[in-house]
Amino acid sequence: MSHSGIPVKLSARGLNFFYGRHQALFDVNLDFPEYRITALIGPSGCGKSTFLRCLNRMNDLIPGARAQGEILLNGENINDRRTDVVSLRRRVGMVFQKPNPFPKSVFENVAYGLRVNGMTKKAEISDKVEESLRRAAIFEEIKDRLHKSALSLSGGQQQRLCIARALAVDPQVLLMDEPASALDPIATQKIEESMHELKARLTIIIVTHNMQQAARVSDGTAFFYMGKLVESGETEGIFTRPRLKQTEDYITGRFG
Amino acid sequence: MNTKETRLQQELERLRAKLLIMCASVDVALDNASAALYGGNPERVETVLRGDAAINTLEMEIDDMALSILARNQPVAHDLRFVVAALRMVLDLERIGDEAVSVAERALMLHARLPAAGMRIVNELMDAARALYARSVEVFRAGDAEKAMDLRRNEDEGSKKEMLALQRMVDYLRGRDGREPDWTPDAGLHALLACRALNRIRRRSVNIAEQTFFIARGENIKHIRSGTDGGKAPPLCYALGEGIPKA
Ligand SMILES: Nc1ncnc2c1ncn2[C@@H]1O[C@H](COP(=O)(O)OP(=O)(O)O)[C@@H](O)[C@H]1O
Ligand SMILES: [Mg+2]
Repeated sequence: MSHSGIPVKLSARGLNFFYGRHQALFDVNLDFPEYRITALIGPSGCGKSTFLRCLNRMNDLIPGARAQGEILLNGENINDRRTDVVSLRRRVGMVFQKPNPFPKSVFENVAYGLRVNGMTKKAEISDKVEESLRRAAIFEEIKDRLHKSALSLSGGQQQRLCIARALAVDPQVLLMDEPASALDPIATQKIEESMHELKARLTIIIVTHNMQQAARVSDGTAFFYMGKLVESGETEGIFTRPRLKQTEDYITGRFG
Repeated sequence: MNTKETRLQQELERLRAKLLIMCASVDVALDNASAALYGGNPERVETVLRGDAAINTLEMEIDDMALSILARNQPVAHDLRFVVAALRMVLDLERIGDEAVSVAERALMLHARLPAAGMRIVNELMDAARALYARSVEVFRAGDAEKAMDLRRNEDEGSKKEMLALQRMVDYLRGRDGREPDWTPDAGLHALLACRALNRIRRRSVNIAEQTFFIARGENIKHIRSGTDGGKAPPLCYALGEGIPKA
């Protein structure tokens, strides 16, 4: 249980992270309560993306990179050697800053993960594709274009398609790395609205550079600086009465 | 971590300067109202009445500045608390200005018709209200949460003194000291109305200290009880000797 009384879905325990000899994270301890949205904020290069990628071992792909410490998903350490990384990434999905749909149809983008996971029945797949597109709040807009190329969609639509793609395999946690930073305010708002609905069934962790976005969408906020977790807590508290001056300087834009 | 001065900070600085100007304008109004009471000087009354328009204008200007800062900068943390407190404080300051007018409007008539014994009590309450107001502004200027809390705590003592003075006023008006009442009914009524205005100035001054605490600490102490009366001057009716009147 977290201090707020909500079960902890995911947590980092004594996490250190190295790119070769460069240490990017220092003894990070942080809990992510279930069905809540947690925002990770901090200046560029402070380690937000690195930390986010630790949460589904996306950093494994980087040569020379290594993590120390524990990441507990439902209480189990995913840094354990025996962890099935493919199944881990199905449970902990990810959406990136730049929408990266496959150069295939809208439908195939979402269906792909389902097929990889062994779903074969056409009707089942098509139901799941529709459901995922609906959850990502994009179905109505593109239902007539399901078999057109995903690359013909607008940036905001592509990003929501990527969210639908991540949702299709029913992840328990969704990691979002600045998902709206390349989008206009309307597309951004659509994504923020859908996040609000998604958290009924998902634990969401979002990296954002936009303080207002963090304040709008998240329940909890964690502030990183130079690879260290400086302050974390309820978003409302962080933005109305942060405990530390560093946090205050950053969120009020006095930093730098 | 290095810090820099942002455009928002400059705007907040301007807002703060404007608030302090309003504080000073209200102080001038109280000063003139007080001089009018002591000296029966019609020019001083005139000055208070004219000054009130300027205070109202300041209220609207500060309101606009605060709204614009909120809309354009979405301030957070201390900045947000400061803007929110500014919006609350202008209400208190504007009201204190109104109460100064209320006192000034009665000053000449009281000066002419209320005998010295009654006048002494009004003046005493006036001095206490001005002193409390001046302290609340000082606490705000310094942004000192400790002193803000002290002011509120000490108000228990202050309101006891006020209550005693009001009781003396009521006794005096009732002629309880054995003499025939030597005031006219309209003088008695205006004396009480002036007392009420001064009581409200104290209450509003405590609000200003509470806002200072809120800015510094992010906590609202308005309804936290300290001592007997939550640091608030009790309503005037308590002084009528009967305690809270029955419905
Ligand atoms: N693939 C990489 N190889 C080496 N160093 C990296 C790599 N990715 C990030 N870093 C370094 O790690 C630190 C944290 O980066 P990152 O996690 O991207 O920060 P943020 O997302 O907060 O901007 C930075 O100093 C960055 O240069
Ligand atoms: Mg990043």
